[in-house]
Amino acid sequence: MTVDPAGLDPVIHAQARLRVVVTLAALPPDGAITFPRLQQLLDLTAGNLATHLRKLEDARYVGITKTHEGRLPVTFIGLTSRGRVAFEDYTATLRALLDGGRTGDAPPTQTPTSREKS
Amino acid sequence: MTDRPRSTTDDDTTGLSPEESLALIGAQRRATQRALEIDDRLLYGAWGIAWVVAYGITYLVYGADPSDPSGPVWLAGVVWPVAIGAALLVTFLHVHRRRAGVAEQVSGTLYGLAYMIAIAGAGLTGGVLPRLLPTVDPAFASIAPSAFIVLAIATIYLVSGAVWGDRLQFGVGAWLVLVNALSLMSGTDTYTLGMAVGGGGGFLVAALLAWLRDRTAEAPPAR
Repeated sequence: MTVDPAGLDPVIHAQARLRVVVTLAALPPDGAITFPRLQQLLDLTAGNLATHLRKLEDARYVGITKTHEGRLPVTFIGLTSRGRVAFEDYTATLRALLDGGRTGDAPPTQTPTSREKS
Repeated sequence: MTDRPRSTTDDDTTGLSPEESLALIGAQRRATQRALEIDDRLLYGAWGIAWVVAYGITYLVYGADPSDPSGPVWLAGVVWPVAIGAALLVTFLHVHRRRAGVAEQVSGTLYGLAYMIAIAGAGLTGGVLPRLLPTVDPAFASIAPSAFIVLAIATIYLVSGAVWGDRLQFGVGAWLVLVNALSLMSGTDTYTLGMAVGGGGGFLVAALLAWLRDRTAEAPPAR
């Protein structure tokens, strides 16, 4: 099993939350997306996505806006500027870790660690 | 290369290696782009077919001499709303599907409005201008709205291509300006032929170039 390399933001450095952040980062800087569409893009259950969003919201990486379209309530989710910076720092750290590992011989090819079935 | 990142579970806090994280970021980014981005191949293709059919049939109906139509005039009247309507329908349905759930940006709304206002204004200008002449030339009056509308569309392509750094879109705009001008210079008789081949054909070439561009972009990354 791999160990979290030091210096990686633990809020982002988890598979599901990383995917949430990448998806939100693909939107324009002040862009947002509805909960159901985000869920569809990520193929997560509603409860699962809500849990991860709460963690991201607690870190103030994600902003959640509740509004109405006509009479229907709509929840929009977007990355905050703080979240965008955190994601940029995260990818910069990843690249620094990889480049550091590349000075010697090539790192061993990682086979994805087997994870619990979803 | 895994195309779609795996679904994950709640207690997913297993450590990812930096390689795994980067691969996951790349895969998720590509999946998101594929799901949300407007497919240029489809839209250029739809408008290419619409222009080839509409301008092409108009040319075939009126032939080399617009005052002596060689085909059914009603067909040239019907083909425009049908061809343009079909391309508009494809465009609206595609954009609606891809952008579902994505918060409407002011820039997106204004962009749509810019198209509508520019096309309406160009059509009006091209419709009114021939009537200001001492004698109305039917051949000139029939192509003037198209000449102005194509120029308006081409200008929007140029500007949005420049703003988004989309070379293909910018190129389509520049090409349409050129084809429109050359077709006008060729004379009122052959204007529609020029627009069918150069304009419609240009869009179809753009669809092909967009396909090639996307295929290159989707090639597996170096790491």
